[in-house]
Amino acid sequence: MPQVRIVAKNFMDMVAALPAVKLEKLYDSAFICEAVLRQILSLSPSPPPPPPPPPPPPPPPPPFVVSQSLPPMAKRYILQMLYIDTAVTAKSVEEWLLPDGFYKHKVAIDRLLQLRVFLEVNDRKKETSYKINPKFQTNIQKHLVNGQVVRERVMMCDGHVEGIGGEGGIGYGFQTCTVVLEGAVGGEALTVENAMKEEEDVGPSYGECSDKLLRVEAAQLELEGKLQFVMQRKLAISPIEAEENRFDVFICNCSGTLPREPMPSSTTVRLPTLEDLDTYASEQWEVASSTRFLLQLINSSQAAKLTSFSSSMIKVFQRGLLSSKYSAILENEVPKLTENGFQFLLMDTNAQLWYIIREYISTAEDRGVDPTDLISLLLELSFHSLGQAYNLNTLTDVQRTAIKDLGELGLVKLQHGRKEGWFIPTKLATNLSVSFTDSASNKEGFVVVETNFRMYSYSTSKLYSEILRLFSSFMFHAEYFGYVHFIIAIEDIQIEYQLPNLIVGAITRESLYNAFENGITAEQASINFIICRDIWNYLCCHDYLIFLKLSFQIISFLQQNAHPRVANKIPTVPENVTDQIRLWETDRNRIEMTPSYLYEDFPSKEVFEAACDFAREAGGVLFEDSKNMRVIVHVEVHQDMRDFLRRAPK
Amino acid sequence: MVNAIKGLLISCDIPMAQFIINYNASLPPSQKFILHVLDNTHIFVQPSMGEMIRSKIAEFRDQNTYEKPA
Repeated sequence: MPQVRIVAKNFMDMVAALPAVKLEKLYDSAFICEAVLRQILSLSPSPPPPPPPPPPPPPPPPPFVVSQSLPPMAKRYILQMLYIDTAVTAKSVEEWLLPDGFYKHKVAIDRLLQLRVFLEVNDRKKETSYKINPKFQTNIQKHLVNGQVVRERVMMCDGHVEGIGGEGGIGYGFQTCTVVLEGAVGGEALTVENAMKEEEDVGPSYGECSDKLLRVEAAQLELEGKLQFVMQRKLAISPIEAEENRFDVFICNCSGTLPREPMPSSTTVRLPTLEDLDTYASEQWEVASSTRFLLQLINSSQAAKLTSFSSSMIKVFQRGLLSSKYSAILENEVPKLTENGFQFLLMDTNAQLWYIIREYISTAEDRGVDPTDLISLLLELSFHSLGQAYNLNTLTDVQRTAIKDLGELGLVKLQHGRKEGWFIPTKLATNLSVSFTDSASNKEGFVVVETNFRMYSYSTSKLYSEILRLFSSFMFHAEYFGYVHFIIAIEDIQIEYQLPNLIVGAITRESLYNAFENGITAEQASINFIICRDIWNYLCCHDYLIFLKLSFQIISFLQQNAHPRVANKIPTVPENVTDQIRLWETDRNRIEMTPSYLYEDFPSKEVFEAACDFAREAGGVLFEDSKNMRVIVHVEVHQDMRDFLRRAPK
Repeated sequence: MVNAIKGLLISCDIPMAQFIINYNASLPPSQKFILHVLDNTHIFVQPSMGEMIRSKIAEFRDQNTYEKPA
């Protein structure tokens, strides 16, 4: 099985990284299973949008993409295996594929195994088979069944359903059963399930055209933003037959029950409006991020806010993002931003949020808090409705501290009545379950970049101005309008004017160079892909393009935060600016140095050839010169080369 | 008997290679660092000279640019 290296960029990766025991514990809660599945299906539990239009025809298969959240193929597999109790051999699973779907299949299976949704079972014949995690399975089934049937929908569809999202990996025809359900009783769904189960034949031999061969298939339709399943029953395979049949579909709405209900309005004194919540959330978040990265000490007002943070949060923020410890600040030392910190600033809010939460969870163990509790709390939090108050006494002590910390970040707002306290999830919390690939920031952009390398940023947000300056210059002029600047030795833009809602700057070579220098000072222990762009991920595996990473970050930051006026222009940031930024970066990397060993003075041609072949097999040949009989190998191969040459006949 | 020499392989474009060779030539014999010039884009040098070479190149680069005084 190919090792699909998934850097833990998002929450699901972190869940996947948990040891097996903890994952099993997590799946105990039905809620968590649904949350994981929801994550998998990438639906956001937002309030239902207006009635959806009829589903579009399946889109053409997307270009080669390895998605960071669970791939559609994996979703499909889960739903397909949902009602199969025994293990399905790997070979049978592979039979479900079209020939060119193989790679995606591997990726999907890997991911599912990582998340322990699929378990591998080795039987005596040494054939691997996959089984869906029983706990996960029961929980999801319960959800399916206990959910209310909201409506029935009949669709005329094409005979071929090619998997979710036009995957193209699985292509066989379906015929759905006409299940007509009226009323909203979960019980009816139960009998239908049972009926289907009886007729189910586990052996997946799809080649047979038999009426008795049924399998419960489920495909996903993103309607109404809630978890809905389309139940289809697959009959004979013949594509011709399938085309002739229409699809009748019923949709059952699954909504689990939260461990807590919103508080009745009589007890809550005054709920903040959604707008208030939003401003609160963004303010808190800004304060949190700005105090994290900017030199609070210089600005005394910021320092006051800093002390209101609990020490645990401080540690979380400092970890990995600033190079010096908190105590160093007291000695007036300048904490420098590490490369990760630099990259962090360029991420969009959701990604930043996830990063902080991940760090928070990783430090949880140090503080004696079980990370699984935290994860379950967070997953539950994403199911709460925006703006509704939930009583604090429904939380355990541990959870209460966690909620307080989250309150500081702006995820929830804490309020107190006379007797009770409650928390209100903000937009940031309800967006938690959305993987950040799907996060469309409806925030307005604010940066305009001109072809003369000037940059205008229309924003009153202190955070952005600090980022641009941080990310930006320490060229600090007395003419500036009374803003205290943070002395960080990172330059990107040279600030020319700063008005209350506008910053004018220029992108200069000097400013960029300093940014590059600071970006590359920290050791690249792990390659953190900031932008979840899969092609970029793929390309970054080649060393050459790693050097362009920083310019890419800078350019993407400018592109993503483009002012609405220029956002529709193609390209958003003028090409001469982007090209120049890249050129400046490559200019710094003109020579490549590799520590190595030079071998010369070979007694004969044969020995030379033999040595070359050996080194080539070890993958360490850097340069070969047959005319002078010299070869240069990598330091790592040197030991082996030496031994080889000693052993070789003279 | 085969000799193994430890060093740094520098791989760059032709102008940079020439720059390095020129720099090498300008140093007194005790400080010369090039062990072998392999071809017009590869040079084998002493291992400790890496940083020195980088800073020289940076200097050269800065000499060729002009920043408008702020």
